[in-house]
Amino acid sequence: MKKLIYFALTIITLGLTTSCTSDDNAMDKGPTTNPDTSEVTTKVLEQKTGNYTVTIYSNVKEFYAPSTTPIIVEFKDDNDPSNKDFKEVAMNIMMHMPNHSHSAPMVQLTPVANSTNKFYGEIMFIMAGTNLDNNYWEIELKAKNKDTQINTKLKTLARGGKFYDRENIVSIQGSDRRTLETFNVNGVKHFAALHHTDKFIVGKNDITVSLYKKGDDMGMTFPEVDNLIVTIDPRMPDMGNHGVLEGIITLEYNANTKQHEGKLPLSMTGYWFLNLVIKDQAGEIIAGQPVKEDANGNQTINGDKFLDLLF
Amino acid sequence: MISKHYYITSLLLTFPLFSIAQGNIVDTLQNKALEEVVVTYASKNKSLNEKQPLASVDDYLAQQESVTLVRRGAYAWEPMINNMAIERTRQTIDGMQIFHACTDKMDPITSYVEVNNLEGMDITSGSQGSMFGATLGGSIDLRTRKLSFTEEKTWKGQVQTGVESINKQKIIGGNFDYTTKKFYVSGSIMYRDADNYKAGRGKEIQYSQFRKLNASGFIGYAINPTNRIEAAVIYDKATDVGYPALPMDVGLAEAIITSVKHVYTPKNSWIDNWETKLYYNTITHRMDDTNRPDVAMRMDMPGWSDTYGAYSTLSATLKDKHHISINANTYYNKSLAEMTMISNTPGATGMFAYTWPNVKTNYGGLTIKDHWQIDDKNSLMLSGTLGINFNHVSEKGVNQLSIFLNDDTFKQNKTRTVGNLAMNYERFVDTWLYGIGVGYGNRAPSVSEGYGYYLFNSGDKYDYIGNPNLKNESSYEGNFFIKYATPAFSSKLSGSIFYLDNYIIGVIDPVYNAMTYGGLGLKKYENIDYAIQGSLDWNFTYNIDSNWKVTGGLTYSYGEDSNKNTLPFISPLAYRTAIDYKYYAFKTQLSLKGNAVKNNAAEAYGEVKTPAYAILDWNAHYDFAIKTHTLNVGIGIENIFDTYYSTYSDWNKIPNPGRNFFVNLSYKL
Repeated sequence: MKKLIYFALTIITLGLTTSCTSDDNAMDKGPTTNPDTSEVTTKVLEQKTGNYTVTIYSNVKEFYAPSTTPIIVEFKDDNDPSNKDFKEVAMNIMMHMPNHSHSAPMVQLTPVANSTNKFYGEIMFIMAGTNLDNNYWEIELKAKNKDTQINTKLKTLARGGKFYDRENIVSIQGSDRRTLETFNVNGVKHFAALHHTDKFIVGKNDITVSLYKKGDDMGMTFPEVDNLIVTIDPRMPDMGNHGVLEGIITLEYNANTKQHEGKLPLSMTGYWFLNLVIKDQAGEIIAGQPVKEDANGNQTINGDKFLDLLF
Repeated sequence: MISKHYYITSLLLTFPLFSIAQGNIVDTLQNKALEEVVVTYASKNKSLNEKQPLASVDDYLAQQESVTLVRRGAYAWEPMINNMAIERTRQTIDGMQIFHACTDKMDPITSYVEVNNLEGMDITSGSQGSMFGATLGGSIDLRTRKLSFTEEKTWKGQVQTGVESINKQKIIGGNFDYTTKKFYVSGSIMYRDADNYKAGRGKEIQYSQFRKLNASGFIGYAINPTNRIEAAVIYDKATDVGYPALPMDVGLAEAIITSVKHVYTPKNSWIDNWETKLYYNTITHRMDDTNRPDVAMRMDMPGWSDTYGAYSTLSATLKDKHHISINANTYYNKSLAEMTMISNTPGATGMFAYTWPNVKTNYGGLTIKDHWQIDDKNSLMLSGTLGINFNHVSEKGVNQLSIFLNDDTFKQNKTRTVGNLAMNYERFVDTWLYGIGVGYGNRAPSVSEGYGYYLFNSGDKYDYIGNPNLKNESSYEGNFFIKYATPAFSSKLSGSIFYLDNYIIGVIDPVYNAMTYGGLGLKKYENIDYAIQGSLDWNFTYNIDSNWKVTGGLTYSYGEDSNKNTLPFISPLAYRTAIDYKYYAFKTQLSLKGNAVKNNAAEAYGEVKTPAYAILDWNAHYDFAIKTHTLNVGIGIENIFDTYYSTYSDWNKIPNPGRNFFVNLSYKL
């Protein structure tokens, strides 16, 4: 009987000693993936106004165009770091050129979670501004701190973006992310903006795209477009242009947010070319082309409208 | 479901008829001769062949009945039992679970041992093989060398060397044993270095080289006459291993296998033997394509597998009739593998994914076996295993696999119940021995089947995606044997058939396109309705006189899925025959082995037809006494006619080695 007890105890001990350890996601043995530029933590602009300092962070060191650029605006009281309660925060964007000025699409500032002095927004730089005297962008910020109204304008440049050229694979190297595509509908300029995503994962990613068109007021407003359909075919041109789904994902329009939403499957890290095709309600292609086969029957010929990402 | 069971039952009922029919075919080929086989259950004490003392473990496995090997090069062949691979079988070393670390099965665990640290292998067919965990096809347990305590201090040693002409293989090794009344220690080392081999007619097979170092040691101590403890370690490192059948080679395959055990062997007790072992092993595997000039894209594909485990086996005899074994077994495995594709575009970012996304497996199970000697003539073997298999996959794994699952139902954790039941009845009447058995097995999907991600199969050119929502696969097995034995002549006919319910296999998913260059598309592991596999084996031994012996036999295999597609890696009709001559310390053997043409290739799974082949081998050896020592000289010629051939189990039809001369020398100190 003693032996049986010993036997039972042995089994229990064995069970306990080999139970699951807790290093859940410790992929400790693998190398890390690619450098991640998705975080909006790089300081781009800073300006003093009265007793306040306004700092703008982004995910790039310098703005470029065309792009959908995420920014975080931080307000600080230079005399009292504990004074962090900023309200009625709003942004306006304007481009000044020698002969005229115009605005751009944007996502208005909203408070960052758990913060009262940091605000997230997005600016769609629709063209490059390369001279602080006569060809530049201006970000106008308004906020209220206690009884003080803050009004400030920050001048900035946006260099011309260097993008992947679909006919030259080497151009992937050092390219800027293409987050804003343009196309024309009946002579009216339209924009497709890929909203910023904090972190892409290998898996299904929530993405949102906004379509804007140039208003009738010489570019002072950019209303959202709700009657066009956005489709995306994710491809890896660097790897035989393979995709994930044979089909193409179609984004769904959300009338509340006025954005087109979808799940983007990314099967591995790396450079992804999002082949963009815009259709009207009848399914007719308005802009872009579907991926086509080359002479060898491989789907390697991408369309001319695209967004891209790297992670 | 009812109709399915009806189908099984009718299959089992018709099986004896089927086997009789097959027996007629066998008769027409009676001139073939061969070795003894035990297919129905535990082929105990199957020791290593002495024909070629320094042959690889793979060569030894290839000679075992009901074992076939998938060959991807000159090294690390993948063993199959009853034409079933590792997913459906249980492969262990001294009862220790070790899991390969390569997602492409380039490192079966049998590649991490060496002939001079092995004593033998226990090969068990079907559900009876569940001693160390659930299995469908059977089990292979490689037994390392054992020592016992001696009254006198005893020292034994051996040095070994060998060469093989076909790949300029150089083999050097040695081992020693030292035993005393309370202590023993043993060590072994072996090194192999081989260039590319040449196929028949002198064609060099590029990327078939390998280098392998294996060292092992164990140490035992007698606490008292009934208790002893033993610690053992095996270190194995293979480098620069070519895989001509695959698009990549291996830069490093390294294993450290360690264990500590306690053995209790009381005298005059109902307990015969009680062994408890704790073990740990770690495997690192790095694929390497840097030597290949033409690859679409360079890749780094390392994999790691770490296993901790323990078991306790109690063997007892009750009332002189029941030989009982009870095994409690548990292990924990972590499998992680990754793939980095290095862009051909200068400066561009590499692409990365986890091919095994950190999958953890916990298993705990209990096996009870009773070999019941009912009387002098009748015996019954009963065995049962019940186990719990728990899987946990990383969140990254959940994310990446969710692309391919059309629902979001799958969770990080999955618990499954697995097990086996088997019953074999044997009867011994005069010179006849016969038996019949039934079995049931139920297994969990393997790491690749459940969680694999973009595993490229260069055989059918599909990328495979795991499916965590797979149901367990189960088997219903029937087997039989009839043996006639006299001292001069013995012959045995045996067979087994497996109805595999919810058979797990890759199924083309046309929604997704291929990732790999040259790939045809994507297959997702799915449960198909069923598959049926079976084999029928006949063999005989004829001892003509004390010097001459003729052996022979043949095996027929069958495998088809529910859509009438032949399953992959099902052997065509295979035959072997040998003539042995022995005169004192001189032994020689001439043997012939071959396969019939394989017309029923598994085309649905990327196989192509394989022509018939027959290969003639010869070997001889002699023990020279040098004072008190012995020098064993073994020589031989394999593939005497330098035939250029591939078998059904040669991955991508890489040809086998051509004529090979070998010399093996063992000097016993």
